[in-house]
Amino acid sequence: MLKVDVAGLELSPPLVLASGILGVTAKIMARVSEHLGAITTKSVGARRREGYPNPVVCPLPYGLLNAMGLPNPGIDYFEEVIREFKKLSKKPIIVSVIGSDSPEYVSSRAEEAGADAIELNVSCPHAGGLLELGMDIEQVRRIVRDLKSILSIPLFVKLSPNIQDIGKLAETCEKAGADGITAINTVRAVKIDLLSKKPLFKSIYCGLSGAAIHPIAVRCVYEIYEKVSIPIIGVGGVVNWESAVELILAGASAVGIGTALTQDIAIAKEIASGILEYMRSEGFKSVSEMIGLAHKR
Amino acid sequence: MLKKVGRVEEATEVSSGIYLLRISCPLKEPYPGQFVMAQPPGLEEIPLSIAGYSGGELKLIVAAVGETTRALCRMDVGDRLWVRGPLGRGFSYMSRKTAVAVAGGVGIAPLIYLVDARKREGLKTKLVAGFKSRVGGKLIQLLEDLGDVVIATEDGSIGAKGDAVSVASSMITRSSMVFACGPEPMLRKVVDLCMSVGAAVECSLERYIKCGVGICGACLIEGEEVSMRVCADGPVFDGETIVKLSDFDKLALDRSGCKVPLHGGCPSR
Ligand SMILES: Cc1cc2nc3c(=O)[nH]c(=O)nc-3n(C[C@H](O)[C@H](O)[C@H](O)COP(=O)(O)OP(=O)(O)OC[C@H]3O[C@@H](n4cnc5c(N)ncnc54)[C@H](O)[C@@H]3O)c2cc1C
Ligand SMILES: Cc1cc2nc3c(=O)[nH]c(=O)nc-3n(C[C@H](O)[C@H](O)[C@H](O)COP(=O)(O)O)c2cc1C
Ligand code: FES
Repeated sequence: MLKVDVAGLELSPPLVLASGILGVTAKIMARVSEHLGAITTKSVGARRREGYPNPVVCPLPYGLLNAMGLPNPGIDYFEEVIREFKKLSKKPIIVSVIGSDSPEYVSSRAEEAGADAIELNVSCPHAGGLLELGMDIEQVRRIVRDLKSILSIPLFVKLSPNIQDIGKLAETCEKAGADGITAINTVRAVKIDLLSKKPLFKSIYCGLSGAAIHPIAVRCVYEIYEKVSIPIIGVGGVVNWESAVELILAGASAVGIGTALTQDIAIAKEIASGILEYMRSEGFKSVSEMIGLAHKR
Repeated sequence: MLKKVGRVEEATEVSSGIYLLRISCPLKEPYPGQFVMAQPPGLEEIPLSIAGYSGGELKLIVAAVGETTRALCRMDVGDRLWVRGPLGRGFSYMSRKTAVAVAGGVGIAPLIYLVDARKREGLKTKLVAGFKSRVGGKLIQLLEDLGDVVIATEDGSIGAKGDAVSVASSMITRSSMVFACGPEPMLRKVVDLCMSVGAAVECSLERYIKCGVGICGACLIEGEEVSMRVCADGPVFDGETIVKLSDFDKLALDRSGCKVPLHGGCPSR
């Protein structure tokens, strides 16, 4: 009942590990994949990055701020991680690729190593110039086209809520050949440290995730669903089955989970059984019957 | 766990380069073995074991080894800092078995709290504190105030001569519960000894900590079939788990997420 097809990937349950959440080694991804339909790796580039110095997170009563700074070992190292994951788990692995660091090279290496899909990150609000890139419709169109011309696995584009018209950008991605949209990345924020009286993070900007951004994620997914027919992975503030179902009704074919893993690394298990119970009590026979129901007028 | 403002009540050098910090900061009652992320304003946020907590006052034992720890140790009474915690999972400190705590160097920090918390519950603990060489009188006093303590130095300059594990070995039997913290080569010896004797053992481990809440993957320690987050599944792990961690005393993730050799011991000492 919890099975769903998302751009050719078979996900059961319709839950995905969000990018940047524990997607570092094959073994931890295999561990978390147990209760998920698929996992997304941390965002990888051609070059190794250490990320920003600590502090890199700041918990809030309603969510989490982070400025990790896209730490990653580079694809030459990471392709072994992808290969090892394929040996450990049957679940699909979506490799997140940093849009500003040779995405064609990185994506093709990832595909060779066994990636089941690529997620193009053009939406990190505090590193790699990705926010600016994600606002440049022409650039995004070009990268998506280039990637599509070399890849034979599905391509998702991860969008930022920090842009004028997310529906229009999603439409551009679809026309350029994208197979799916992931939305949303974190909401761009700034935290001021009351003791130093300066921005808390070295990068000044950070990203807000967790419960606080859920209504924004629902709005974005709702707007994107109105504009495209490719599937959407809805991400942002999913902390329980209710918030997951809301995204599905707004138009998401599957739901990503990130910050909620701070509560419980196996929270997806609970969320999946909650979705199942909701489906039973509401008389749904498949997840696909629920996708975008909120739009039927 | 939200960040809280802590106020320094005392920062005393108890031995050369080792400081006792008392910080007033209301926290959720921590368990021995848990840690905090501490950040002096404008500097890095770093993990430190809880060396004591009571009545809204947090104790830390800090070795001044780099920029942030030196800044912490130089703080004056009344200075303020950020404290996030308690984080991680601690020791099974309420164990009714005959308890032996084995510390190497600043690894003493969480064990001070453990011995103290057990004492408050009426439970006894033998503490073996090992150092390379002579340590300061204030540190010795602080340890002796805890009760049943044996101090060991590798060069024999004070206390028993030898490393903490050799000195502790005669106290460890089948029915012991051993708590340990220190450099990984030393912890390996403790685990090997306990496994051969049949004693239960728990060690507090260290890896580079970034988020401290179990989602970034910076602190992973792994084996063939296990992957553990030091910040959230640990920092305390039991002997059965540790023997499965092939990274133990060998490998650690660097800041980019590359697995690299652990150069001769703890990644952070
Ligand atoms: C769970 C845990 C508990 C700890 N408890 C104590 C304690 O009670 N007392 C104590 O003196 N030290 C403790 N440490 C070690 C302490 O965190 C480091 O000594 C400190 O971070 C060094 O920072 P620095 O800026 O002074 O030095 P740097 O010059 O930046 O680094 C010196 C060494 O510390 C390591 N280090 C730096 N930042 C971190 C980090 N974020 N996480 C882990 N290691 C780091 C470096 O890898 C290096 O080996 C603990 C570490 C961990 C993981
Ligand atoms: C610590 C952390 C690291 C993240 N790293 C990445 C990343 O590398 N690439 C990316 O596309 N998104 C990254 N994100 C964003 C998440 O994938 C997700 O879009 C966002 O956190 C919203 O979902 P959530 O509220 O469930 O966390 C990160 C989020 C957090 C909290
Ligand atoms: S430090 Fe982030 S998972 Fe442990």
